[in-house]
Amino acid sequence: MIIDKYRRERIARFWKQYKRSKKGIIGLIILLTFILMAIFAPLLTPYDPIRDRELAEWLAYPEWVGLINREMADLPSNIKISILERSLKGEGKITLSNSSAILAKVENNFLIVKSVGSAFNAEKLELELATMFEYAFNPPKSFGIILLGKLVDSSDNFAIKASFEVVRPDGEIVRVWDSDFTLGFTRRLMVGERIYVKSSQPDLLVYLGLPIYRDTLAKKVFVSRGQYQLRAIYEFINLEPGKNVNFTLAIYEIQFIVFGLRFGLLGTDDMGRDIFTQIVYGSRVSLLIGISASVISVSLSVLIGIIAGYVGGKTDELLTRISDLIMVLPALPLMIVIAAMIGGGLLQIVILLSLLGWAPGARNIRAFVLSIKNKPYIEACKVRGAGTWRIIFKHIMPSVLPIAYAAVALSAPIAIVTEAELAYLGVGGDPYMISWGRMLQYAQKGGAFQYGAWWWIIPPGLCIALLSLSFVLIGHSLDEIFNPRLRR
Amino acid sequence: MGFKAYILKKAFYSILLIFLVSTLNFIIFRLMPGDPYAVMIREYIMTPEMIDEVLNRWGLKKPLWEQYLLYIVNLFQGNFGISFRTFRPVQVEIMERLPNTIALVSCSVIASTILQVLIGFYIASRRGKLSDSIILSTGIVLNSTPVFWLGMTLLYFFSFHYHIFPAAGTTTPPPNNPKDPISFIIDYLWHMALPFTALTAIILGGGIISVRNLVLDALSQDFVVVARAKGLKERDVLYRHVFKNVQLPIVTSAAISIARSVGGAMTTETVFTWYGMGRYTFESISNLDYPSLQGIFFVICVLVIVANFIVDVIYGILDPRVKYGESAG
Repeated sequence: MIIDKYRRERIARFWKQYKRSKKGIIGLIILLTFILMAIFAPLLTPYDPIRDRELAEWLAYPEWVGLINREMADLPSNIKISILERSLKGEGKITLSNSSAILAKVENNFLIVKSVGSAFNAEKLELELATMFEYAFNPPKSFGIILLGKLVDSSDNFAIKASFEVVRPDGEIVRVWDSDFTLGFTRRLMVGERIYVKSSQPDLLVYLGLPIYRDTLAKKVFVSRGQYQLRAIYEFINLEPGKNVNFTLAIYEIQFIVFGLRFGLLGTDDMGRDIFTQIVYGSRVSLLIGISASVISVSLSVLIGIIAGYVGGKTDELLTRISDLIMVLPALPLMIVIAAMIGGGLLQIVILLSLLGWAPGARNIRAFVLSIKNKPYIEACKVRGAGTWRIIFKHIMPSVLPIAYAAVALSAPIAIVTEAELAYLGVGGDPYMISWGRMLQYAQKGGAFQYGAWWWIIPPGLCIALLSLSFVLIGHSLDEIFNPRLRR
Repeated sequence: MGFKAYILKKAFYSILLIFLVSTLNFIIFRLMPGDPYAVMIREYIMTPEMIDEVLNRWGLKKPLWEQYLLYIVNLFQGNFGISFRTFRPVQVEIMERLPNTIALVSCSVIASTILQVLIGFYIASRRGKLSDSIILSTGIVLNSTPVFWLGMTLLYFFSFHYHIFPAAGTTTPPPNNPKDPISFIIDYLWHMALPFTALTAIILGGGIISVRNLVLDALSQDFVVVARAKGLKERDVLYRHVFKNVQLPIVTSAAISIARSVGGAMTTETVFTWYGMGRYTFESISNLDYPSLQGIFFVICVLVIVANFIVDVIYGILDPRVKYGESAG
């Protein structure tokens, strides 16, 4: 009970001292922000940092550039238009070429198209869904179409052909897709099928007879601002005219997507992945590596420093020589070589960082132990017959620990930056685990410089610097509190 | 112990370190899991006889201690083996690149050492003023910034955005390359400007902080009080008395900057496609080129050890205790 109270008081006293350090508080706030970010990553962003591609145009600017630069405000954000939903709500129109032969009805937000009795015996019938929308931006680089449907049942002489058209403000009709492209002439077009076409697909551009550049189709469609009409046309074809056709078609979704040139908080990378998501998830790797490597390496420092300092003699000589050797070795090249050999998973990197990072700390702690080794209270313990280990754990360890706390905070940045450097060089790492260093590697390889994608280059490094800075600030404050030499 | 004995001792220690590093290098590449030679054998479809032939040719069938002896002998003859990637001798590839790395690293270390002394003294003499806190916090921020990212940012703004500095390489590529030596040097330095800035800035960040602390430490000592009491100007106190006292720790910290800047050069060179050891490492990793990696690691370690030896010599020259022997001092 008394010990508990004493401990609580000591913590309160420590906190009172720590609060006074402005640097320490700033560092703590930054660190806590990153920790919360790492823990609540899935709540902060709905996407996956690696797997969710094509969320917007490749290398889309951040959304907010429009607020700063008027010209950027003319770039489109993501626009998603569900033609089916609009038509069902009455914002578009559904046209049937012969309303007595087929029937379109709404069921659970789907459109069910059915032949009526034996009335469908003509050569073909048409269903058209159309909606208008106002486009008020510069042309996008690409757009996409999603069609989802299912042919529930049909007679043998039945086939479907679908197509998608855009009517430009100047009245010209541009056909952007038809089912001949995707599947050829087939009656089984929509059976449980999800059709997803991007206007940048080279094969589509070839099919449409356009030059094969990413943006040719989008440029052809979006010539000016104004009212555009989107039309999805289903042709129901009777392969044996005169004979009856029965069919039931369910249409789940018809969607038109303009891939934004602006997206999210930090834009997208060269595969259309969200950079903000990568930043959020990347904090996990840096925190994990930074904290675990520094805790392990400082534990090693404490252990080795105490043994070298207290035991002395030949042991001290040997340990000091080893630490000299490690301090002379260029750490990064050594880690590159070893990680390239054994493969650099997170665990390996943590182990390597710990094994190469203990030397400077051990040297400090050794010097400290030497300075307290001959103090009267230690002598007294010896006289009373306390063993070496008892003295180390009961008397030396407690006075060494405060130094160790500061050392942990001060060695975390080294671990964080080294991990980033290794990831940047492409050494090791799990391909499904994004880290800030890896983001920078992708940025360099993915042409961030050539395309001027500053939103891809600046944030990861800034986060590395901020996180290391927070540890440095905390470490300095701890040092000021615990280190008698620096105490004012 | 005189100066000569001091130098001999340091030289002996450096040679011992080089020997230890080469042993470590052997251990890493022979005893680690993930057989590097399996990579080479895997690359081609080979019959068991061919594998046998390869293993014999490379001496891999001999006992380990014989391999080790062979390795040491080869190493000190400057024979690092054949690159898996280019099939050229590794030592030739290294010699092409080493001068570029030495140029970059030594320029950065020298510049940052001089600058950190100047700036450190300046802000220490203005302790607590606005310029002190601004420069100090810049130093702290720079110290925790990854050098390659600073390089990428500089590259983005000054090469790709404003087109002031070249974006890649050590010199202008052949058709327009400068012919006479003077414009060649200018062109070379022009290409080095950005990597040099990035590397120097990062080392400088930590250096400023440590010089400032050293100066402040010295300022609180008795001889400064005496100097001030004598009525010396603050400037004279700083540049005569304090400077003499901090120059030794500054020389020691230069040794730390060397190790740091060699590490920094690895990534910086990759950012700027600087034709040096760092970029070579990057290429070798991407191609699992183990002989090259082994050679690079050895050469870099030797470089750092030699640089440390030079620092020790400078230390010996500056430290009167070494120069005149412990007993005389």
